Amino acid sequence: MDIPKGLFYNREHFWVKREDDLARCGITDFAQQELGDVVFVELPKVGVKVKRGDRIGDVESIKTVSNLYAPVAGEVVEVNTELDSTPEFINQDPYGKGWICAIKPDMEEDFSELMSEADYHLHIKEE
Amino acid sequence: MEPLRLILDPPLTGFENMSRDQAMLDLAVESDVPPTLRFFQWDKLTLTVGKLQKVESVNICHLERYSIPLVRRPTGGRAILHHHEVTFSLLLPRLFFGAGSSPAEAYEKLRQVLLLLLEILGVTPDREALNQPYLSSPYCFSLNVAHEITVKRKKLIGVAQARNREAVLFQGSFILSADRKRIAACFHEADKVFHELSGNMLALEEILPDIPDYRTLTDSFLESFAREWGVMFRKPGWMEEEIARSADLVRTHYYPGSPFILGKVVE
Repeated sequence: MDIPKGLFYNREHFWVKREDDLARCGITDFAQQELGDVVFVELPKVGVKVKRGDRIGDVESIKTVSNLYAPVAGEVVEVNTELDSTPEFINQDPYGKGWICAIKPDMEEDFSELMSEADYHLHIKEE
Repeated sequence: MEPLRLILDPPLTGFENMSRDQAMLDLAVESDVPPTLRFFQWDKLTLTVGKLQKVESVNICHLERYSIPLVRRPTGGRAILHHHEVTFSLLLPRLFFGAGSSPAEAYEKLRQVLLLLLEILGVTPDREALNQPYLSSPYCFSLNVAHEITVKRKKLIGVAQARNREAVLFQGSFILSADRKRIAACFHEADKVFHELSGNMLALEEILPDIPDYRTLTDSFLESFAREWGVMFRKPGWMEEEIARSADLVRTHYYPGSPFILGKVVE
């Protein structure tokens, strides 16, 4: 299971990568393995303002719709529209081509609520 | 495990049926919705599609001509024409399946109940899970995936799932009789769907000479849950907030021709 260093993670198995003033995010390798083959992704709308923990979309695998939740508060400024036609990117490359959206964060403090790679590893073990 | 709330709804519109399940799932995040087993019926022939399924393959003109409502489910999967079947939903806290349990683990736990159900009814189900290669088909019963219930490699009970932070919602259809031509006519590629259903779908009447009545079937469900999971049942009915939320959802999402149903999700 791949848990890259340098990213932030939350308890709902989202990863967050800081890119200048953006937070790019997607679901972790652990999560994609648990979900199985992803067949549909419902992305958030660009421009929508979200609070941390808001539902921002859905992902479907093995006839199961699972909610996606915003890892930080802010404005959704980019979404990965390639997932509309190639949702399997989430399985094949969860930290790369399988990214879901980029959020312009409202509050720096939200990052302190996220976990490091080491803490996320422990979180998975505890689950 | 705490007792399951048992709900036996009368025939309702597809919009009401799906909004009630959606309301339970939504409210499980905000309040104490009890774990629930719900049996529900349809006031008329109704086509449902999965939460994220695209509807381009559905022959909307045919549905309009025969007054067949199109409704979106809160769960995943593909289309089902609901007619002569036992339809059920099951709402459980995520922790029931263990912290961090996957959709596949949850399906497997329910699968054991449904296998026992068939044995109670005198049907021998396939014990090994059948997982067919991906098939691009709009209909649920065209394809078997690992958690579903098959007899002689044909699907008899289809189940789909939705999950939020707190709860897992299953919706299932146990097919009693199947009019494959009528189902196939709901899709642009009717011949292809008919061919798929001929190979992959099964109905209880094609196995048992006499189908038990609805009451006997639902009682058999209860017996299988009680024996497999050791659960009891109680009947406190719907909570007021569930009925109110469901009514809201009928106004905002689950109505004929709504953008939510036709594929433009509104929040």
